Amino acid sequence: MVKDDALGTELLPAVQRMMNGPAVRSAMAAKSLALGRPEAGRVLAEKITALAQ
Amino acid sequence: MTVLFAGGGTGGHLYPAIAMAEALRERDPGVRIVFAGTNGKIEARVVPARGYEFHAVWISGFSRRLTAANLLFPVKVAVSLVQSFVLIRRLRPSVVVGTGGYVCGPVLFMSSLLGVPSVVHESNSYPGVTTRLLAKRMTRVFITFDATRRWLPPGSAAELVGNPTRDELSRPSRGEACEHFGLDPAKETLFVFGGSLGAASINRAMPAVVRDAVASGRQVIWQTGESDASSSAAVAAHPSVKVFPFVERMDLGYAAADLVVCRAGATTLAELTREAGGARAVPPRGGEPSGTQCESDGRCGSGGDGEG
Repeated sequence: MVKDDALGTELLPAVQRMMNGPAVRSAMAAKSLALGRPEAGRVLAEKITALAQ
Repeated sequence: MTVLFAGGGTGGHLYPAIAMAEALRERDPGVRIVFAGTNGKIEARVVPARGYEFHAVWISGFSRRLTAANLLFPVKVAVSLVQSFVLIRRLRPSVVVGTGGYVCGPVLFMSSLLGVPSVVHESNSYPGVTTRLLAKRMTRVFITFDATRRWLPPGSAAELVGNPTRDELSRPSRGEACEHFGLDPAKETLFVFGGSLGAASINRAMPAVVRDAVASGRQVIWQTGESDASSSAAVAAHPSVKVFPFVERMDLGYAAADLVVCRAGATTLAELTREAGGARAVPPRGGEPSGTQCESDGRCGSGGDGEG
């Protein structure tokens, strides 16, 4: 996470670290695995349909 | 069955509604999907282009500073409530679904007043003002993070469901994506965007990043936002740098990317992590504490939703 007021100094080194370090990118990918839920749309469609009955 | 969606102003409010609409249509091709939104915002362009009905409601936010535009706000509220009443009476929706943005307020308030089942989906861990004000009137409050419950009024019918994302995000190949943008699939690609409206702070910091990426033999896709397109002038001429005010095909942007620099918006994070594929986020956060979706240590909720 890079905050707005630090973007001018921290964004470039952060991008360089990520681009040049496959291990860093793999770690970030592993950390983010749990957020996206591809089934959420279908779950919501079921619930909306149930409310419509 | 007719489902009326109300939401927009930004992609973060609009795209979860589109994801739900697509899932509803996949489940029942005969379902009538209608969107209520605001003219001049992203929904007025994207919704009709996807073949959905769109109805404009005249509403905007209330500025916390003293501005002349605020004088119109009470008029807009009154007009938007009448427009919502007419729209709901005419459509007779089975359910009304709000996904955030100012348009949600009058539409959901009126639908709940008229006894139509009304739900709101909240993408952020800290709910927006519309969600907080209307939560108790809603049949359900669908939430993305378990932590959101503590910000809702007691008695709200909250249900943890996650943040819906569009299936199309999973489909493109890297080769197809690079061809779309005129990029070399053999080169590493940086994809930069500050949400659907762009982010001036990211845009200001980007020329140095873009120059470094190009000097390292990489290529860049940069969405500046409509109002900040000039920020890219210093670097946009390079053939390895593709600059757009708005990227319609985010699925292709994600598919081309080896690294993403973006705002840590809830919808963006959900899209990026949907398949845990090639894109990685370095998410700058906005100045509003209420806009926080995930901290970098992953404390943004529980129930399987909370990593960032």
